[in-house]
Amino acid sequence: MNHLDERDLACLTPKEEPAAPVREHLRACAVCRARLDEIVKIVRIVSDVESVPARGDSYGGQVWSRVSRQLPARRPFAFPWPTFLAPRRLAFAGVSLLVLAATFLAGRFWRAERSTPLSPAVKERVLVVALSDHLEHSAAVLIELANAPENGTVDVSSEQARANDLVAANRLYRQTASQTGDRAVSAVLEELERVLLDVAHGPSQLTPADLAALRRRIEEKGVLFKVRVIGSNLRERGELPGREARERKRT
Amino acid sequence: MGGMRSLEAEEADAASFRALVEEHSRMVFRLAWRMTGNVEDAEDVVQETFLKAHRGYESFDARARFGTWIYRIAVNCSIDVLRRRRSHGVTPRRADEEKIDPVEAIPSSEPVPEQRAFAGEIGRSVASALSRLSERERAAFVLRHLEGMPIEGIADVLKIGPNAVKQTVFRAVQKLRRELAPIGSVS
Repeated sequence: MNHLDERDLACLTPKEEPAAPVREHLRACAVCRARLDEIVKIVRIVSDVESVPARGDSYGGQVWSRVSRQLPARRPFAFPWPTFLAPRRLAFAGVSLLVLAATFLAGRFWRAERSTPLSPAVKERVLVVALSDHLEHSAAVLIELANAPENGTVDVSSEQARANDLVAANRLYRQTASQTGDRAVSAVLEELERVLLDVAHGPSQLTPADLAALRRRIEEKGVLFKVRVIGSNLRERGELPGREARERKRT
Repeated sequence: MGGMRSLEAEEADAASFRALVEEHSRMVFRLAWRMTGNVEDAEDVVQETFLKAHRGYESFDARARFGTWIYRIAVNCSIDVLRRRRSHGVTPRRADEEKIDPVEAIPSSEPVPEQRAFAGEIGRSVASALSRLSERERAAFVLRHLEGMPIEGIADVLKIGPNAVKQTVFRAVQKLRRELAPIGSVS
């Protein structure tokens, strides 16, 4: 008689009904029943001793008062910055601010001179430049993780913080790409977002096994490659205004 | 471009985050205590979990369950604590050094001194056996056998395949069986 796989036995718990074939086998096989009894006994010893200290109904409130003291202070007034320009995202904001300033000035010029809104072409170029920078920053984080040394535990807390900052911006760009029907960009941003989320919410100390798993995840779908390709395409598109201006000067 | 947020939206976010903290604190503490085995570390994990969650709150996908998301963060924070402990060579405190009395787990209301001594011995042995598991083994064992989480859920939290989860739980059970064999044969 074939016995049950010990890995399956070790995962059986009284809280879950085992599958019918397993139940049947346990009924018929004394060897597997004895093995299971041993596992159950060990689990019971641990769970009997591991009595979790009680926490009362007010515990949630106590935690909130501890946590809220450490949260960043809210802004004194509600200037409606896009979320990716929130004060705590200054690193990314540095680049994006320049882009927005350019948009603002372009907008003033347009309004003053022609009283018409920004043309879709200008809007697109602004977005293209900002998105291209975003992809560059994201690629830098992925490259650092891909090249992290393999000996011993690696501290990725700085990459983690940067990934966390990039996630919200990525989400905005993905939504914009999806709204404008740019499916290729939207799909790449979606894959990138998953990896960034994994990094942001994963452990900050990675064992060689964790690091290998993360690298596999990055390599599996060629995320880094796709980010670079899209970034390079965008950079080409972003250079167009400059070229056009140069050509106009020449003529 | 979307993403404009008013103060009202921020306040609504803060209020909803507070409600989520209050709702999930006890669950996070229970998990953190089971993972770390001591109250001080568990309280640190609770705090760190919600601070981390707050930092990533805007990136949280509203379609997912907040409980599952926060659970994953709590497991990772606990793993970080266990790793820090190991890398600093800190021996985890034993159950009898905490304010929690393992005797409370014994059903008798008036334990005689021999029972108390025996229960204390069991508590120390279990704490020591658990501390010999790797962070991942401890997480897999706790999630499966103490928290009753399905294999697929554990795979999702630990970011490994279901077969790897089974293998990890199996290794944990084997180690515990070896460590706790003397108690198993007595009880």
